[in-house]
Amino acid sequence: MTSALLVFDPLCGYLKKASIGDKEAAKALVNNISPKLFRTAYRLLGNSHDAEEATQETLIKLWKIAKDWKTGNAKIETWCYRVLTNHCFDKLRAKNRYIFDEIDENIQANEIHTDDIIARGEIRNQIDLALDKLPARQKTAIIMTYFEGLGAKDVAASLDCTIEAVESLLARAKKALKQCLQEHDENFGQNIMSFALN
Amino acid sequence: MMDQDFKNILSQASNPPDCPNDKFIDVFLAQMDKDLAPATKAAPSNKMFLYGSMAAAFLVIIGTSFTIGRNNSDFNIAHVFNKGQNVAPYNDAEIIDVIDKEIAEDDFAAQLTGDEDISTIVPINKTSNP
Repeated sequence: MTSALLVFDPLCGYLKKASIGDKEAAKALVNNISPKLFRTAYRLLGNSHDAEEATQETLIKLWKIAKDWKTGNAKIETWCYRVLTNHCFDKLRAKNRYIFDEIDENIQANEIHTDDIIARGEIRNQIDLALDKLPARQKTAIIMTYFEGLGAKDVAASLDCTIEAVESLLARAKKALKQCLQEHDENFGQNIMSFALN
Repeated sequence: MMDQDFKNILSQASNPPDCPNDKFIDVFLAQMDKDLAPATKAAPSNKMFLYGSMAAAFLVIIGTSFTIGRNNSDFNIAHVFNKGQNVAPYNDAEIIDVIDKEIAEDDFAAQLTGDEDISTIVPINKTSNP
């Protein structure tokens, strides 16, 4: 099993030093990891306040387990993503914003209101809305893979699933996004792509 | 849609606001101070425990050295005296003389009280000093 292999984590040194009170190491650790966590939380939750809260809570949890962190077992970043996404999912569940049941994912993904997109009138907003309508796990897989550049293995560890499951999530997310964007833009092939490539 | 095309499309999504790193750092460091403070506050009591332990160890050492010293120095007089109690203060000849004298006195006393035949009385002075 690959998970049994020791993992080299450059952040581990910072965490160990921080755990014994080294504030410079703590600053370096937070500086390194918090932007990634904040961006992910923001894209998942959609507002700065909740994203800050999620990031802060993840960092505090990281501090709490700093002394007991076992070097080589997991990457700190992956662990943080996992804590963060769980927090975000809980938050989204509380808001009833997403349906997490797999059966409803396709239905949910297709329910983009034309009026909303037309009113905004921008491709950027179309993409945002399309992403926003994705089921939470699909959206998380997209964010981690395409916005944060994580590998499938790390995404799988963060979402507590297999690499195959991540690939499946990504495939469904891409299909749903494409359908959503095409439904509201007949010239999707030209407009979106030309906008994206400019 | 190719993966690269997909990336290009997603890159057009709106960007998140700047990450409030300083805020995160401040909260993280505050939490560090809060959690590490009890250990610092506990230091005085730990020091007291250390000083107490040192004082106790010092007393034990002093007591032990006193006892050992007492057994191996001039205080040994008492110890030798204890051993001396097992040694007779007189030599055997003196003890035998004392016992013989006591027996002779007892015999003489018995004769005087009529427990024995008085005709056989031999003056004790004659026995001891013929």
